[in-house]
Amino acid sequence: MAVSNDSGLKTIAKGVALLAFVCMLHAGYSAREFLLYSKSIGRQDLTLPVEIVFECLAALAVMIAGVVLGVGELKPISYEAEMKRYSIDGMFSRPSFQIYNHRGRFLRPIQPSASVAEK
Amino acid sequence: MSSSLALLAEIRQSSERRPFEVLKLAEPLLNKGTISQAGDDVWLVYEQVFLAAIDEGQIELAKAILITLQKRFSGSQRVKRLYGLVNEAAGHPGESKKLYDEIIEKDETNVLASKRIVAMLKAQGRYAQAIKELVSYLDVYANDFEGWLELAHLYLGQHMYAQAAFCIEEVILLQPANHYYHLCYAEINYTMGRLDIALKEYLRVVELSTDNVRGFYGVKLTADRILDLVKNRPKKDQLHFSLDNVPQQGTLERLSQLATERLVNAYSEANAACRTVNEQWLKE
Repeated sequence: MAVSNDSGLKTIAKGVALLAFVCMLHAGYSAREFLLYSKSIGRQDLTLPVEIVFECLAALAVMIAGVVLGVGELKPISYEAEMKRYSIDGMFSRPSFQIYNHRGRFLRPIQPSASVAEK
Repeated sequence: MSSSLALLAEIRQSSERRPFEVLKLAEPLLNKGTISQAGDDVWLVYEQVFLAAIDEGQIELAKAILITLQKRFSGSQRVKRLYGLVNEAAGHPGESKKLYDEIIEKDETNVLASKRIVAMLKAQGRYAQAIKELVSYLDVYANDFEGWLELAHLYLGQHMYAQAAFCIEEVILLQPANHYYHLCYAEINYTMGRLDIALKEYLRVVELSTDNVRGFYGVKLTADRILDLVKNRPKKDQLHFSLDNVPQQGTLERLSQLATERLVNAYSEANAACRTVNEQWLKE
């Protein structure tokens, strides 16, 4: 149940992020229209109206939140967490120096082997 | 089927030597031909299965895989090395030696062949020559941490602890944040009786790896032994380190206490038998 809730939340977050992105595009378009119009009527003061700036910044904030919440599971980035994946045997194994005249062949009876050669 | 490919990839990346599992996973893949599902990794899987096969002495299987690899990568040095390996496993080391010498003659910088020559000396039990060869190899490739690690273990096999410690120092320089190498360094120093360095290194281990049990056992052992020495003050020539280099008595006592506490905590979820053994050991 918790899993489906979680993935539901993620879908919503992604939707919100998309909406915020559209809002941002809208802010950009509005700014362009505003400047074109201002120039055509010969206005001196070309600062953008506060609504457009606010829309852009608010959309950015919402989008960041939406993207962060909407991505997959976050993983730990510490070196210690990375090291947990390795065992002491793996860390001390030296593949290039392995020797092969050991008892391995006696530990399991030799079986009729797979027929790779024909393929 | 893809799950066994994923498992194989996991084993490959961990670089552990698990030939029985590899063969068991790979056999159905080879028989049904589904091994090609691995995509570009298929050649890595072939190599992995090859190495597992010669580990288990299944020379026929290894040779069959080798033919497949040879078809795809004719003239590759890496495949050539596999020919040497299969000869080693089949008991024809002379031919392998000839092949490696040939590879090196053509290309002096071939690292894999140089390493195999050391490994073959090791397989013959000629450790002194193996060490000599590896030392001259490391003169050229000083940043090869696998080589240093191997040299350390060759020295350890000969009970040459000071030399082994030097090699592990090189390994630590190359991978400073890897606590397994610090642990190894600490244990070598403990063996040599250099308890001051051992204590520092054990503390480094528990710093890099939270609640590392082996590390805390080390801290406990070294701190208690140093405390013993500080109290009893033996003659200078009986010591392998200077007592001026160790922390104060109070600090040592606190370290020992901390190690006890963390060890009890580490075993708190273990079964009763384990717990009693640990508690008894800590009481001594």
